[in-house]
Amino acid sequence: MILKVEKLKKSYSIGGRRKLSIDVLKDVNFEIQKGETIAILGDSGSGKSTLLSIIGGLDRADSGSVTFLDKELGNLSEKELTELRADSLSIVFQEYHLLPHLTALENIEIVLELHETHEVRKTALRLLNQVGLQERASHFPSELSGGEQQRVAIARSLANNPQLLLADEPSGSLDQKTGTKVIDLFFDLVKERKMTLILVTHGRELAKRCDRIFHLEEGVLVQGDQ
Amino acid sequence: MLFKMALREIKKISRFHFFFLISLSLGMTGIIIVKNFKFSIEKTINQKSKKFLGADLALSLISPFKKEDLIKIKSLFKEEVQVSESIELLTMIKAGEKARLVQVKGVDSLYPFYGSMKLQKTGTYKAGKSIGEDGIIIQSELKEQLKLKKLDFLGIGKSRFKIKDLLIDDIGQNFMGGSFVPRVYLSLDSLKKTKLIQFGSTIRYFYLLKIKEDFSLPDINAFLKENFPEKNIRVVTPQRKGQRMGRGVNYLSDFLGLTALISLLLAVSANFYLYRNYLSNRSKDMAVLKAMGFGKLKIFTIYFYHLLILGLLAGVLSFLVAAPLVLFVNFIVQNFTPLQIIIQISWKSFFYGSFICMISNALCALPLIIPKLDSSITSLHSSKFRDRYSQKKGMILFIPWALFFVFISIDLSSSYRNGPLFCLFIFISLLITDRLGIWILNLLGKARLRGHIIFKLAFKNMTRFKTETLISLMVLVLLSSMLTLIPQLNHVMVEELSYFTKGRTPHFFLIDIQKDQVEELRKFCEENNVELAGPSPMVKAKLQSLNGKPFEQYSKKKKSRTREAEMNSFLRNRPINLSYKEKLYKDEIIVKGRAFGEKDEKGSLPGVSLEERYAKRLKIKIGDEIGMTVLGLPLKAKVESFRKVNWANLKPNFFFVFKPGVLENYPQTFLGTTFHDKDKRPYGFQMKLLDKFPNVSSINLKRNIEKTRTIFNDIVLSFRTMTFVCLFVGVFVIWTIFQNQIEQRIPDYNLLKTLGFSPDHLKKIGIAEVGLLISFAGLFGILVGYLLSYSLVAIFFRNMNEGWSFYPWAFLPAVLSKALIAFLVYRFVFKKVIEEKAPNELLKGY
Ligand SMILES: Nc1ncnc2c1ncn2[C@@H]1O[C@H](COP(=O)(O)OP(=O)(O)OP(=O)(O)O)[C@@H](O)[C@H]1O
Ligand SMILES: [Mg+2]
Repeated sequence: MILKVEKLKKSYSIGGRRKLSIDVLKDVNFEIQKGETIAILGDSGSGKSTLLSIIGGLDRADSGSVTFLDKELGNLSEKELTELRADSLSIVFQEYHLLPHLTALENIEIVLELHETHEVRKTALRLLNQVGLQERASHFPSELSGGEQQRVAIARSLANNPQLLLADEPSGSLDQKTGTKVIDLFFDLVKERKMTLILVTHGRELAKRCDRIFHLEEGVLVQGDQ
Repeated sequence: MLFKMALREIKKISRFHFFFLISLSLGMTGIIIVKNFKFSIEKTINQKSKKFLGADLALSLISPFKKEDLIKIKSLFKEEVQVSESIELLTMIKAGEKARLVQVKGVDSLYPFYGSMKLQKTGTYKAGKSIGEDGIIIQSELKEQLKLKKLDFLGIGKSRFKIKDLLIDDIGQNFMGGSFVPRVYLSLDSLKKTKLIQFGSTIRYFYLLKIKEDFSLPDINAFLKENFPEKNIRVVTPQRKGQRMGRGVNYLSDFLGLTALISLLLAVSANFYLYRNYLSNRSKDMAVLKAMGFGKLKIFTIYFYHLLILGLLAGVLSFLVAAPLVLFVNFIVQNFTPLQIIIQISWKSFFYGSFICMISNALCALPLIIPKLDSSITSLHSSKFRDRYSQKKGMILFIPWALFFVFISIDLSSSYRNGPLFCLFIFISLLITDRLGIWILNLLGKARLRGHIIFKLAFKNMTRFKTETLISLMVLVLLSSMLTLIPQLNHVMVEELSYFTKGRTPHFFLIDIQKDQVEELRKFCEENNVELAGPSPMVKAKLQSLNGKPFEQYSKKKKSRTREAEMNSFLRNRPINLSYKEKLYKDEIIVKGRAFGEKDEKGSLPGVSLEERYAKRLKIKIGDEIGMTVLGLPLKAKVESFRKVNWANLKPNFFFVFKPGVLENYPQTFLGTTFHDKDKRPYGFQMKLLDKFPNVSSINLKRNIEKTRTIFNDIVLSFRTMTFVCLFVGVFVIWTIFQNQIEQRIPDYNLLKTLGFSPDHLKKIGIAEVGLLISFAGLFGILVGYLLSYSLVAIFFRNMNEGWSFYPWAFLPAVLSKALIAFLVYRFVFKKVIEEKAPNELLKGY
């Protein structure tokens, strides 16, 4: 078991004075084994991204626990969380999120360089090669199409050899055809490396490619397709 | 409608508008202060110049007009002209233990036609009142200097007079200690009784004219030249008098004006940066407008109006900030101007400020908006991080603004030379900063950096956000050069002041020594253990022609527009003093031409040696033929050499020095300076001297040097005040830029955090970036500052004795300010942004 989520609770208070609070996550429980891929389905606003950000150590839960690699995230300091993100986690976003002033290659290199300093370029080129963009290495994000940018983002997410890959609607901003292509590539890479994946998506078809499917509804995570 | 849309723009992003307006209005504040200063001086001079002169026209000369002469002059005018006669001379007077050089002024009952003097007991003295038979009026400071207990009798020349009143406020006394010598007023008859009017004393006759009709100055000049060719008549108009009185203050305000210009430049650069980012953030709006069918021109107009409105608002704001500061400047200025200028806040300055803000903004609109209009179409598949933009085109769009800047500089410095020169220097420094910056950035950009990831990212940030980096760089360079400039200039001024006090300082300057007294005086000094330099002969003459062409007598234009014209007419009207000697002083060096003392070639004109800088100013060359008159008699000479004179030795020094055998038979007096041993009491000497040589006047040099020092201190003070304004603007502006820059990058920081960069990493990247920028800008700016100070000294203080000298510690303020900025940026912007913003915003889709 690589990740265990128990009784996870998260609410946001909005509206300043009156303290209107909405419980986004009420009681989320699940486990995921090494090498397993799961999909999380849910309506817009149901809290999928919130859940991902807590698992990814970007946000903290109100109560409950997230145990990742035998570490309780709630007990980790910011620094330890940062290290965790650098070493064992990767996130692929819907909006790609590449650094605009770095080239495709450099966007990958910066992640590699957090860990090692030799052979960085070689590794980065190899990763770009795997997403079929070796020719575009020196292009800036604004010079790439959406699909190409997402491929760079995927290559980047693999750069630190993460134990757990989180993906938040990776094809959400792409048209159907490009989306499918990118997702195919994504799954190929994940399967090839036997990586653990949590995929947040709207698409039922896409979800079916994962080992298990969850549904986030009313703040509770339910296994199954319904 | 477009205007309305522009108004709507203003309501939108209030934070941006806040910084934009504050920075522009702060940048404008200095200029408005200086402008108020100038308006007030101009107003005072225009209003009071007749009162300063006391007449519509004044003629001054060294020998009196005869009755017929005056009738002739009066006949030049249709209506009746009144003439008031007065005589000025210098003499020593003593009372008890004290002796003093005073200027004695004998006046008739018509003096002065305009204006008045303020007296302690009887109030104002105006024309029509007479001082009376045996009474005198003395300047109040003379009473203190002579330690008079009560208003008693005072001996002047061969007579004694009762002191009737104390003069508190004289008319037309020169600005900036023009008269170091206190004045004594008496009637013309009383003056005759003193028997001081004798040949050899320095006497000037003044004829004040009250003219009812309009008259033409050139006609009068021509008339005087034709009818009295032998008299060196100086014609003074109220304007000239006013100009002369205001000269010092004017120079100061010109100089301050240029300093203020730098703060405007700082503010405009920052605003350029802010508005550029603002437009980038609006590029979606632009695209929407385009889709709605708005043409480029319409879109341009919207933002153009927007800038205009902002300019107007900034103008209003800067006036509000400047108004209270003007009061403070008033306080400083009071010290060194007997013009009694009250600096008023003028509405003109309000319009001036608003005008500059608006026009500057409007002209900035070109380089700001036009590139954005084009780029929004083509940028679809290109990157701003690539060097594709056409730099030449970008530069051209800046030209109108640069020209406007030069225009302001001309106005502020009242000079077609100083202002543009100053601008040129600034522009060149900025251009070099830009070129050098781009070159270094490209070099860094291309280099395959080996170093730590932190440095790599810092470099990448700098090289890829090139425009941002360059603008911050320029602002930083400007600021640090400013901060180096001030202490450096301060140093130059202080050095200049101590020029005369460095070596052995002479105590007294002796004038009006007669030829037959020279030997006796030498002996007298020897007996008293006093070292005497000189006495050197002095022959008064007037420049007439250069190589046969006449020196322009007066500036053709009625009112000299610029300081250069003022200066030229001033130089060329000056009577000159000639001297002769066998040998030069040891510290007097021939720098060009024949060695001093070589015999003239047969048949050629007598040779004369000129002081180097004086010759340069009058554009005189070696071999030129100079025509002069001495008491109307013509004298021609050939320039044979230029000399470097050590004015600091405070010995009698002259611009024109002849060899013996030319001037001996012309009327002359002698000058000398005395050096005393420290323990000798100089006052006793002055008394003894007066007893033995009653006609020789002695001026206390030590005291006058002190007086000059306080004036210079005031200048330094007002200069510093201006600098603080600049410093304040500079720090604010840089703060704004950095803050904006960091804000723009928040998404990037968040992304880096999710990728596993710790806040610590990010801080280090930021520090590396800001640190590199600041240290490069600091170093370069300090260099520019030193150079700028050098050229300013060359432009403004050409006549300085010491000239520029290097002040090694001048860089300290710049370094300290840089450290402060770095600290502020780190502590209040960086730390906050990096530590407080949660990285999960990224997933929330913004
Ligand atoms: N920082 C916040 N403050 C207040 N409310 C928030 C905040 N972040 C998210 N929410 C609210 O929490 C709920 C869940 O948001 P979340 O982004 O997790 O939904 P989602 O399932 O990812 O939706 P989508 O499919 O549209 O991406 C939403 O109602 C949102 O408005
Ligand atoms: Mg979401």
